[in-house]
Amino acid sequence: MNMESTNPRIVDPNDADFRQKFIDLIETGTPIVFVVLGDDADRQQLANLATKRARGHSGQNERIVAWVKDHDLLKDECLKYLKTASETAVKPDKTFDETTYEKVMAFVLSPVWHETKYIFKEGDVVDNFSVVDAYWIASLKEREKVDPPATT
Amino acid sequence: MKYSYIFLPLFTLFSLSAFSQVFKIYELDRYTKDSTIAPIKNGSFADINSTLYITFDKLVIAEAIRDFTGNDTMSLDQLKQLKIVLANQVNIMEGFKAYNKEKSLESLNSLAEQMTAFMREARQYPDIRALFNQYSDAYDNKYSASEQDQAGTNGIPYLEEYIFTEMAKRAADLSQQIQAGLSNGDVRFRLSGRLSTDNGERDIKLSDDFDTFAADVFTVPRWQATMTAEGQQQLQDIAGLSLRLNSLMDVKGQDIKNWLADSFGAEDCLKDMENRLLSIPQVVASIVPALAQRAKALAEQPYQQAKKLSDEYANNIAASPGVTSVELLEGFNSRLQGTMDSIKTLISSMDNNLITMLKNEVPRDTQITAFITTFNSCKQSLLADRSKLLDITGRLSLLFSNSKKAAKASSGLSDQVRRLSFDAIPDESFIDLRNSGQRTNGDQLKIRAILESVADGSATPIRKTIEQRMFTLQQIGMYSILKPMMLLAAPNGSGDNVDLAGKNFQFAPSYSILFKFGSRKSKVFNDILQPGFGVNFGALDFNTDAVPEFGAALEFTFLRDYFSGGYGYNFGADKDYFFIGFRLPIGAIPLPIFNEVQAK
Repeated sequence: MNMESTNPRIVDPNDADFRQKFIDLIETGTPIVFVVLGDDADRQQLANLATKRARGHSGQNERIVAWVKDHDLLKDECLKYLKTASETAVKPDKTFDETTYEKVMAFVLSPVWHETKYIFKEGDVVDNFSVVDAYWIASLKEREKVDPPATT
Repeated sequence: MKYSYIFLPLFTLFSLSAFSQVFKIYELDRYTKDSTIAPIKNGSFADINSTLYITFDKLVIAEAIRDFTGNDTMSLDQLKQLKIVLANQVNIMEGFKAYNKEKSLESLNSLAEQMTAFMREARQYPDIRALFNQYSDAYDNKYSASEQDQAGTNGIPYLEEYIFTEMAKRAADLSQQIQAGLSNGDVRFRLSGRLSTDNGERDIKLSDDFDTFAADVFTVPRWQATMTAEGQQQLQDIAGLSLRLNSLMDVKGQDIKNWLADSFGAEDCLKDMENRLLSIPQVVASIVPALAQRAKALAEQPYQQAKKLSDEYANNIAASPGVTSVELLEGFNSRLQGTMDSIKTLISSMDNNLITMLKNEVPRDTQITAFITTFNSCKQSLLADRSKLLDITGRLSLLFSNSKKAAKASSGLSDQVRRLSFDAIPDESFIDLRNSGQRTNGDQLKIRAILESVADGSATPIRKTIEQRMFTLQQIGMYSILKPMMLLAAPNGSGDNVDLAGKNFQFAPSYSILFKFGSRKSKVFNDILQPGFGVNFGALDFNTDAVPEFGAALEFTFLRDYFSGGYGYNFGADKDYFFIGFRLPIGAIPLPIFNEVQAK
């Protein structure tokens, strides 16, 4: 991962532990993680805006921007998260269609359950408004996390 | 002039087409029997004793007002923008939790529901989205990345606060623009009635609907006629939101005030410090008598500062009579800086002087230790007060002051919206012709609908007649008159009592009771032919002995009674006769038999 630990956190494919670090980034603590996939001009703009809007906000949760410049580098892990997408995130579909993965520019994960709450696809309007909207939708209250029952 | 055949076609030109008439006039009795009856047209006849029933087409009036005023309406998008911004302001204010001493007033930090609701609604309006983006960029330009990382402290607002305060300013601007549009010229809708007779013209009394208003005028705010139904609904919604926002400003301001009162955590410790500073010189004197004077001198200034600070705390949280909570907050923010400077001065003064002396020059004693411990604890409270109050009140003041501007500006809109409604123009009205004074067959009544506007600063109104009806008053159906006539009577043959000295005809005065029929349709019939039939009573003298003989005859008149003819019987001469007659240049007297002209 990016040694700076500041946004955007760019996934380094040369890091032996990049997969685990990516998962740890998302699942450690309760940050809202904005994951950008790819490296074309639109995605660069999206990463830039996501980084700006990760600052100066009045939300309770830290906002992290993770940038996976190679779209296929963490495909399995990203698909795992994308499949948790809410109906609102994948409207008008009911669930995330895996075949559309290449068109995904970014997705935003909720802080507690790490579920996808917003997806940016190619052709979507990318501006401050949509990025802030994505962060706030991910900030909405989630169901309470309950410890699993004891097995012994 | 009474006969206006030349002018009637011109009047017709003033009327709107049959499909879009400002008003329609009916005779009430006929309309009551048959509501499908055609209205009175220009150049037609109306019963001279009827009650006229007028219906108004307000859509047509609104269209006429739009044409008259140039249709420069305010933008519907402006209204929609203002509505969404005000709704957002209301949501934010409503989002402040009711005051609870146990909870932090940090609802600004849990804006997720409000933000997503705002974004969802704003998504439909490209202008709002553009504003959001514009304000976001302005925030980035104003505050560096490192400053944004400190948002919420040192007076640096969060992005959402910044955007919403800018939105509040935008709401205030929009409100002022829209209010200027609403205020831009009222239009007066006027109805006038005028009767043309042989003796000239005069105004006539219209119905009570119009006569209760000055000069038969309805003053209509132009926006009510020029704005679409959707626009008017938006305006009504804005007025409602404005009222809600103004109400919330006071309610939530009270919450802030209550929270402030409990947030001054150092108030009690300051009082304690005051007392301890009074007693510390004696404590030092009992331990190190040589330091007594110096301790007293070093304690004097902090004591005065602590006392002053206590007073400032008390003043800051005390409610001033007649000051609203929001004003208190705004005023407090400016006084707060002085209070915070006092805190800073007290702490540094104590730290640098008295505490240093106590720590370094006075042997530890329980009282000295307690004093230092109390000071350190109070210092933390003071610093916490300073930090919290500077940040939060600064932010809240920013939010409230801008929301207050928006609320105040939009409240002017509410007043405008509540003004006389366009709907106050009646849908129908009545004119009782019997209340219009003296009138005769052939008099013409002109009813006009006029729009009038007065440009700012001008004494001369601009007027436009948008509809006119001119029609003739006529006794319709059977009516009766008494009319003096001059006869040329010719006895039918000779007789003992007939001696006209060789002449065939004899002039004789007479009067006729005539029954006429007024046509609703034919001018020629009413104004020219005007036939009548009736009875003629003449003072004949067939035997020329200068003693009048009474004659009665059946009579038929035509050409407005200028000519008549008949057959009768001379009772004095016992002789029948024929006659032709001419009317005398004296007016007829209506008889109370069939439809006399009534005047009240």
